[in-house]
Amino acid sequence: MIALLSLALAQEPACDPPPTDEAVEALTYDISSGLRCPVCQGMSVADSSTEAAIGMKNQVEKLVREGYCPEQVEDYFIERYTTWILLEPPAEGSNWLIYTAPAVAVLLGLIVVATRRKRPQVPVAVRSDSGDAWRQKVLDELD
Amino acid sequence: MSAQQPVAEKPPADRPGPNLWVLGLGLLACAPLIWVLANAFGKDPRALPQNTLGGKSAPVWTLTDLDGVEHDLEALRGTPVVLNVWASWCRPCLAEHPNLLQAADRYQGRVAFFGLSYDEDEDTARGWLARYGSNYPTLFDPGHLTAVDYGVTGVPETYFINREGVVHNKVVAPMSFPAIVEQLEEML
Repeated sequence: MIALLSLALAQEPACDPPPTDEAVEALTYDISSGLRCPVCQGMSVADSSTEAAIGMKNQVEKLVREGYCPEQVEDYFIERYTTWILLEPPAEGSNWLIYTAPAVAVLLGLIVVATRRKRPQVPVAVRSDSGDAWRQKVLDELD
Repeated sequence: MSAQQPVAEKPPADRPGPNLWVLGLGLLACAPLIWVLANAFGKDPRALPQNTLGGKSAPVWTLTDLDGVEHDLEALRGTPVVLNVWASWCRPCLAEHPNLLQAADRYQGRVAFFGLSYDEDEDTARGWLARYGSNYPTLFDPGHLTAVDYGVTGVPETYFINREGVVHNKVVAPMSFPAIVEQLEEML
């Protein structure tokens, strides 16, 4: 049964191949920009000139020319390298936290601010008698 | 002279309630990020994916070896295959090479051994093999397309493909002779 598992590219190409070499090159660059170079530090396949990255770029270009859609090409690499290969983590599983936590933090901050603004301000009481006494003392000295 | 200033009275001490709220909300907002970061710090960022094709059909290839002989993986169905990815500039590959030669010698006729050169050109690979010896074919992989098809991340990597053409295991490290034998015995 295990042997029956097939690779993603058992699927047929679902897109039309780009009409020109320039279009192939542009799409190849675009897809490669989202793939992590396996032997570099935080660099994309598109930006790396290592053997590994060159091989990957070649494979992306081959698949694009055969008419595979960008999502299919991405799936091809995920199948071989897991989602580790993606420079931008997919919004799934615990990765959702990365995308939602900042928004939740801002929302909670706004709630705190709104709550504190609604709270009635305690008036600052000023003892008028002491002010009058001081004023009277000044007037006395002027006289 | 003691000037008398208007004295402001302090507001009632009602701080503890709202501050606990703020603290609680702050912790609630930070907890997911702390969890994600703690989780990520526990992992080695340089750790590469392992044996992603394990249990799946090995990508098929038809490649020519450095002597000009064509080899087809499909035609080898029924025979376990060892595919070792290497390069002439790779020092660990050099350390591993004698172990592969020894294993290929021991399992001759029972297991098909192949090298897959990760070098840019065939002559470099030929020169290396002439110097360090070879008793099994080394395939040349133009453009590294087959290597990418197998999910190669570097060299050396060794793939063990069973009789059914399914990837039994992938080892991302130079292999000792006993380690190679262990993998082969599991397949045979």
